[in-house]
Amino acid sequence: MVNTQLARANSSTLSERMSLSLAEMSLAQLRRKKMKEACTGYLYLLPSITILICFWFFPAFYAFVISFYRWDFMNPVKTFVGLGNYVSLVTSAEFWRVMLNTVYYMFGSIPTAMFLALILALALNERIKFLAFFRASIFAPVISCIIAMSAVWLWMYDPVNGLLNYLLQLVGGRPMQWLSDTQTAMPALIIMDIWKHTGYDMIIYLAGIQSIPESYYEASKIDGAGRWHRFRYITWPLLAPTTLFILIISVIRRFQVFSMVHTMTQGGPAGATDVIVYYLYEKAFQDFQMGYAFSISYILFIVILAATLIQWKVGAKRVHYAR
Amino acid sequence: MGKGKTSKFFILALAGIIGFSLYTCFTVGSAGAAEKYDLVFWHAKASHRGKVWQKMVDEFNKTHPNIQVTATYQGGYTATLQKITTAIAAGATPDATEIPNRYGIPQFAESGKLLPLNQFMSKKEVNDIFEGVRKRFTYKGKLYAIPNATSNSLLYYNADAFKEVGLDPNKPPKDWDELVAYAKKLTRDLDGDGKIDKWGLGTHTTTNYFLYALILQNGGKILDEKGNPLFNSKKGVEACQFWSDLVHKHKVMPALTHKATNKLFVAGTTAMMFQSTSFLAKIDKQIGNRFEVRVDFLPKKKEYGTGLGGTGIGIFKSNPKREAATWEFVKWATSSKWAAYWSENTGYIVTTKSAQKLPSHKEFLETHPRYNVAARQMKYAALMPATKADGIIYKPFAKLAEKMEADPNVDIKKELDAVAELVRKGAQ
Amino acid sequence: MNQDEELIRKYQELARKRENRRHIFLYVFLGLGSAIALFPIYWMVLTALKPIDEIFIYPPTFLPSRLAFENFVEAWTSAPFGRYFINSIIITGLTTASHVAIACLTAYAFVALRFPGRDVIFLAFLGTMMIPSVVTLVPTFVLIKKLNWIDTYRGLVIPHMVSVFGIFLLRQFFLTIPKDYEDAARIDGCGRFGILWRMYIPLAKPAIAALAIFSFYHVWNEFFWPLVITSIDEMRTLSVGLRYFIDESAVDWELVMAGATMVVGPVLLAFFVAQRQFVRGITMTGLKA
Repeated sequence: MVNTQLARANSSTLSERMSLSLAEMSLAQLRRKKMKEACTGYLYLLPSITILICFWFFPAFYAFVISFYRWDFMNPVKTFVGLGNYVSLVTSAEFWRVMLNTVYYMFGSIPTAMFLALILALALNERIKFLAFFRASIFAPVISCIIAMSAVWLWMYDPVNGLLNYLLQLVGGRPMQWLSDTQTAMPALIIMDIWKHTGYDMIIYLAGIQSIPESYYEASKIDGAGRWHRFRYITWPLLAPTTLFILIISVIRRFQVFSMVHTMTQGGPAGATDVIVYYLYEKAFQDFQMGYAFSISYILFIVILAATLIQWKVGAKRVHYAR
Repeated sequence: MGKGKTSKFFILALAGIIGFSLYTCFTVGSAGAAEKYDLVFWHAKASHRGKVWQKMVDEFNKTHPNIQVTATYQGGYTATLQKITTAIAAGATPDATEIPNRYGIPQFAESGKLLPLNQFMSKKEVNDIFEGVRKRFTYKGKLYAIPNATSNSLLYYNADAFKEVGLDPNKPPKDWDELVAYAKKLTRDLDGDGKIDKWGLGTHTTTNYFLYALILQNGGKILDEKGNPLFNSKKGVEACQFWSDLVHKHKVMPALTHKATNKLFVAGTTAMMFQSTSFLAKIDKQIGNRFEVRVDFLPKKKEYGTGLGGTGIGIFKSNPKREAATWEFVKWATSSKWAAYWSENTGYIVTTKSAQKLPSHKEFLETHPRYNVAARQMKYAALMPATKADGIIYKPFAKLAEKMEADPNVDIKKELDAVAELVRKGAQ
Repeated sequence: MNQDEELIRKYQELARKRENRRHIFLYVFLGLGSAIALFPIYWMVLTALKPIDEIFIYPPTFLPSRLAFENFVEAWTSAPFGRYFINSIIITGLTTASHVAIACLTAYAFVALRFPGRDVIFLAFLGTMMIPSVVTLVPTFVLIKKLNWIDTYRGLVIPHMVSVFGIFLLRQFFLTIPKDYEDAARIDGCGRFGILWRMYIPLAKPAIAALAIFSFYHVWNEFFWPLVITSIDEMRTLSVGLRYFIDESAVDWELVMAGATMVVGPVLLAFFVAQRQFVRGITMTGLKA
């Protein structure tokens, strides 16, 4: 910042004084312009901020406050317990069990879905007939209402009369217990998750692949690079931002898996598919322990935030942007 | 190119629309009308039964021009309990609602929003309700809901399958030993591939209710009047062990297939099942003429015993006049005549002695032996007053059933003690 | 030169054969993928069209013996699906429109305007995606009750008028537009809004189309919020209506499948028709962080 007063005091010539006045004027103009821009910025943010504050931040903050109480939201009496909920939560075996279940779920579904999505996207990037049909079919599960599809999958997973076992037997396999066995229940859910979300990742990968300029490939072809070579040294590195995006979104969303468990297994059998948000939901609506439930959600928030930041940092180091 | 003025206009317009919507919503709720009441009633009965409710409500509205009731379905029992919870939390309660008897009554009562109904009823009227089902809605001595739809658990069996393996369908299994013997005969591997094709026994998803029933049948108790655990006694452990044996020792019940129980029974794959009386109304439609279905009491050990399902109607506080009008509706809907009508059209059981004594209903029970079975089993129903323990043991018992079915070596005593510990910790 | 032409022709033939082989492999692979993806949907429609006593027999049949349209009729009349459908259309339409409009404005602000706290606010927005909505359910419901918005379209739409995902998506897209374009527009005399309206939005049409479709199916399938906030049947949406079918004690499978088909069908059809625009939209979003 130019100290104009000092400069003026020290200046002597008319021209110097004139240029200083001009500088002052444009500085003031600049400041006014900056303020105008800031105001416009806030103005444009107004609709979203208002709605989010009223219907998201405010209720979330209220839930945060309640997490320090023992309350069922109905009783006129609230009991303040300070960090009591958080402490019992972190020291309860139940909580770590559901955390483990959720992580198991994530490790099972995210890499598989992303891998399948990638090879499907690569396949769809070729010039073949029926492209639109294949693309739409693979994406169809994503937009199908999960409640509707849960009913269908429950049917398919039926261990005695179910369709999947029937098909398995047709090809000579052994029938599985699917959702009726503590060992296979989570894998069964993971399979359904992969079915439902691969299309989503695939479409985004497709976008990423199609935005890689042809020129890179042509140049490499001239240099005699083979398919694998081209993938490893052009496609994959240039897809890194896309991969990071998909990974971050997947982690955030999968940590919060709920509807599937709610409709298919209700956390069973014997707690094998009990995930964090379902555990939260039961604590809130079945045990009437709202305060405790809210403390679960805030711990989850911290975990997700940490995971996202870690991915971001690691990603920033290894991902190269074309910008 | 446009000037900056369009932008301001657009933004302000958007803000205006949002602001206007917000503004128009701050209207004060309309005050109650003079003597006419528009009541809101929530229920948890779907499709076919929901239609029966609608018929009843329409009839009430016709005969009570100054009290008009609107009835809405709020989802299944779990969804309705959730709705009641959020409604109480936000102060958005209806005038009356069906309350499932599973759990929640103590919390709803303590919220202060649920009206104790004793003020409207004489002692005689209160005692007219069957004890087991009345206790479910009584908390700290006060009655908070009038049972309107009660079910208990029955043994359904495929008479044709019985005949196939040489069993007499007129002599269903009376006790645990017979149950096992029959089920063993009915469990068959028809094509010798090592996989069982026909199962003897299936049990519906309400496994916790069946465990309660087994404990009662063994002469044990679940909770005492105050909600203290009695289920982790020797009798309780034995009862649960029997459940485990059905799967692992006798191998007559497929593990962890409760969701499919209905389907399997209807398909003829399972010959017997533990299921609610409320399924009676559906059977004929889903089975048609493919085979004959009969029902009987759940087999006894030392005595007969069954859990109770269903709902009661509770009233939320508003103002005395409105509450009285709501009571008019509830009284009408649970009167002998209409209780009998409800039962006959839905398969639920009447809950008052006077309704059961009604000549038309007696006749109905005689001509519908299956419904009669359910009605007669009522006297063996569990007696459990509503306590906070209900909610605490609800899921753990279902989980225990699952654990036992998944692993034959589960330490049942330890598990039951753990649940008892939860009750002791939670009842504060 | 005959030999050279021969060689070239042979080489081209070989290349074409290899290409064909690859293509066959791709077709099989993609065909398998599509079949797996579509199978449960096919099963749903199949079961909905089977007569009720055929549904439960085992082994199952893969084609209905006759088209049991009565399942649909009964499902349609068991609950006011027509009403649910209208509600779903209205709410999804309003919410999607609002998602797009607000995302455009907000993303633009984050990209093209400078103001203190810009990045912090953006991070705060992102943070809203990290708390499960089950948590804000009850407190928001309490608020809605105070505003008297229960059982109203307002209550169903307004709390969800902002799509943070949409803001994120559009912001990423806007970031790919070179600054020079903006400077050029400014020189031409465009005001701030003009730049957004006449430059960014037309360039972002595909991304906006993508957002519109994402929002559409997300709101169409949304279940918990409409469940909590509606207590009268007239205001319910399709997904809630369907859930109510799935009664806990005894499941009317034929109705469930018919209902499910009615809920999933429209979205699938709309998508198959509009998918070209959608994919172009995602493609051009250039997902750089």
